[in-house]
Parts: sequence; structure tokens; C-alpha cells
Amino acid sequence: MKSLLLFFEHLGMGTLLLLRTLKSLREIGKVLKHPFWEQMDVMFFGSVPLVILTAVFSGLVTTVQIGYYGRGYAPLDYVGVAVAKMVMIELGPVLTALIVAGRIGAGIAAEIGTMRVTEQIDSLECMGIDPVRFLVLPRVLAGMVILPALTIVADLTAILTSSIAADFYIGVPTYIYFHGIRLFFAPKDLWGGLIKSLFFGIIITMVGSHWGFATEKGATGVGKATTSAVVTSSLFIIFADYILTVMIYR
Amino acid sequence: MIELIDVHKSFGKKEVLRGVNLKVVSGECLVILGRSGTGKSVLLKHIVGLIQPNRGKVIVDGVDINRISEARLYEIRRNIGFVFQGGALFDSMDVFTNVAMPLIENEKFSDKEIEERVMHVLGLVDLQDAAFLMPSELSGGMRKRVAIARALVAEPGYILYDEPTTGLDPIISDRINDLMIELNSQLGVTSVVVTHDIHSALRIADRIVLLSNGVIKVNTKRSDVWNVDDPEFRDFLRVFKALKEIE
Repeated sequence: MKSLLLFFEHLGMGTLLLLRTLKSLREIGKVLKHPFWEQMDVMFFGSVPLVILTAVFSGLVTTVQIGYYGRGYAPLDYVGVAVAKMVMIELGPVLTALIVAGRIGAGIAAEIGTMRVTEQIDSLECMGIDPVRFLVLPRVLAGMVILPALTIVADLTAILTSSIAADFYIGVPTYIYFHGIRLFFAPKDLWGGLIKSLFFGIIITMVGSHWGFATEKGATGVGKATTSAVVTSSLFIIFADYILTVMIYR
Repeated sequence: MIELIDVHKSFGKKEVLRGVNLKVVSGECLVILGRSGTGKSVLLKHIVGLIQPNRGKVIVDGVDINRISEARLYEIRRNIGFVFQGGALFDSMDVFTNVAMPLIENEKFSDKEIEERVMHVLGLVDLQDAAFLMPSELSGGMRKRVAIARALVAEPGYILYDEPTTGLDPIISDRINDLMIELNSQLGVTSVVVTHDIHSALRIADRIVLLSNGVIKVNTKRSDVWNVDDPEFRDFLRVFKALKEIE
């Protein structure tokens, strides 16, 4: 019962934070001057190596598995299109979001949480500065741009490594691999995945900010907020993935 | 003028403030004295609306701050500087940017004006050389002085100090006391200081109030402190006397 109450308490607080973030869009001019670019820089360049590494291995694994499942049932010449669609629609956006949730979501919760327990957020309020506009809005806006950008990087990397693996493990030459992609590529595969990643960007940054603002009880509280941010955003990403997939591809 | 009328505040079952009535007159330095955990900081945070009372009113310059819009509250806060106990400096910014923050956000000042005003207030707290250090590179006393500079930079009418000398050595404490006296007398800033440091209280205060058990038990001019009968207040004075005798 207590856990249920706590769940609804956080859901309410999160919704209020979302509304306050939307309200703070009035002052978007102040955000775009400096903090937005700073967040873009931190989020993108800090995450690119991790995203590339994850995409390399997911490209390799997917190719090898398709080779295994498809042998004897489906023409392996179409392994390219199978991997590309899987990567663009599902693996690219979701894996990137889960990786970024662990890095950026946790970072946001820890940073804002520390500011909460050391009275830095109170200090902002005392100066007449809206902490939501100052801390949350730049992160959410940056997340909305960075997640699709990182997803494109992940898609390209996974498809490229998959084409090499297809040649190496299954014996499908690279030109046939890409020919298959060209033949069956539908723009919806790409933009659908990017729309998903845009929503994942909002989820990761909003959830991280919420747990940061909800932090209490010193260093222990910061640790708990960080863990909660990663767990909550991962669950929300998987839930939102289902909803968005049904809305876009059904 | 700041006025608290019958302010009550509880956290869960714990009643921290049980009907506080207090007036802070413009230009004075009021010290709120009390033992640790008596709700002094909670009381101070009510004045800027960081904490809302369960019952009662907090009036700043004639406005009940708990009955106004957020935008109006931010406007009122811009006329109040708040010096937090730990300084509450922004870790990711250097001293200069920390102090400049209220001016940068105001958007009325040119870069040159901001630089002049920041260096001026850093000069007042004797920290011009530390302008480009990060907060992590500062000592406790320096952090407090940067926090005072930041509270001062927008030239507020009021400055609220939360335990400004706690955790500092006696020499730095005395420098902070001198600084508060100077700001009060030279710039005419109204100050409210929360402390349990009786030595500091007797140096800087025009008036001292004692917060105990959630109410104001003593409210006296500094010149009349030795005539107060309250046993808890006399305990504070005894500590002060003992220190003086050792000196």
C-alpha cells in the first residue's frame, strides 16, 4: 500500500514537473543562449563512444543470428534489409536510449540531486531564477535533439558492421547486402525510429530531473535518486516503445 | 519591513514553529538566536517563501508572499539576498560567474557593468584575487564570503544570513562579523541573522530574539540583553561571559 502511494506521489510530482517545464518554454530565449548548447555538448560527445560500441556489437549479433535462423528457410540475400529494418525501427532507438539512460539520466539525477541537498536549488529560487527553466528545460531540449542524433549514429554503425559480418559469417557480399536494403527501404522505418528516440530523449531527461528534484537525505539520497532514475527511465522507455510502435507501425 | 504573524509549521508530526510573531524594521540588524534544531533556518526560509507556513502570514514590504503569483514572488526575492549555511555556491561555475549570476539572469546589465559590479563586491569581501577559482578550491571562510558577495551584488534591501559564522575559526568569524556590521551601517541593508553563536550575536545585532520551542521567547535590544530573565537566554550569556573571562 505504501509503495503504491509512493508511486502515485512520484507520478504526480513528475507530471507537475512536466507542466512546469512546458510553462518555462516562455523563457526559451534565455535557455538557447548558453545552457542548451552546453548540455548538447555534454550529452552528445560523452555518449557517442558508448553508442558506437553498443551498435557495433548489436549489428554483429543480429547478423549472425539472422544467418542462423534464416539458413534453409529464407534467402540470405535479404539479410541486409532484415537487419536494417530491425535496427532502424527497434534496436537503434531502444538500445541507444537504454545506454543513454544509464549515462545521461543517472548524471542528471546525480547533478540535480546534489544541487538539491546542498541548497543550490534553493539558492537559485532565492535569486528569483526558476530552477525548472534553468536546470530542466535545457536538458529536455538537448535530449530531444541528441537522442535522434545518437540513434542515427547507432543505425549507421550497426548497419555498416552488419554488412561486414554478413560477408564474413554468412557469405553475403556487401553490394548484395545494400542492394536488399535499397530495394525494400521505406522512409517510415527511419522516421518512425527517430520519433521514438525523440520521445525517449524527453523521458530520460524528465525522469532524471524528477529524481534529482525529489532527492533528500544527503549522499545516500543522491545514490538512491541515481539508481531510481535509471530504473524508471528504462521501464518508461520499454513501455513507450510498445505504445509508439503500435501507433506508428500498426 | 518584514513581518511574521502567527506562523505555524510542522513536518509530519513534528511541530517546529508554534505561532511565531516577529517584525523586522528596515535598516536594523536582527539576530535570531536559538539552540541547534529549534527551527531558526526554517523560520528564515519562510521569509523568502522557500517554505510555506501551515498557518499564519509572512509579509514582506506589505505583501503576503504566500498569496501571490510565482512571478511576483520571484520579483520580491530579487530584493532579498540569502546567505546559506554552506554557501550553496554552484559547483560547476567559478567564483565570478557565481557572483554574477543574479545580474546575468536580470538581463538589464551589460557585460562591462556586470564585471564592474562583481569585482566591486568581491573587493568588499576581499576576494578579488579568487574571482576565477572554482568553489572546490575555496576554504570554508572564503565560500561564506563569496556567498555574501553573491547576496550583495544585486544591491538588495534585505540580506538573510543562515549561520554565517558556524564552522569557521574565530578569526575568520570575526572578519565575517565585521563585514556584516559594515554592510548594515554603510549600505543600509536590513539584515536578519540566524545563529547560535552568542559572541557573534552580541557584536552585530541591533536587536536579538530567542527562538525556543517554536515560539519567540525573548525579544530585546542589544543594550538590554543583560536585563533579560529568561533562563535559556541567560545560559547563552553565561557562555559569552565565560569566554570573556578566559580572554
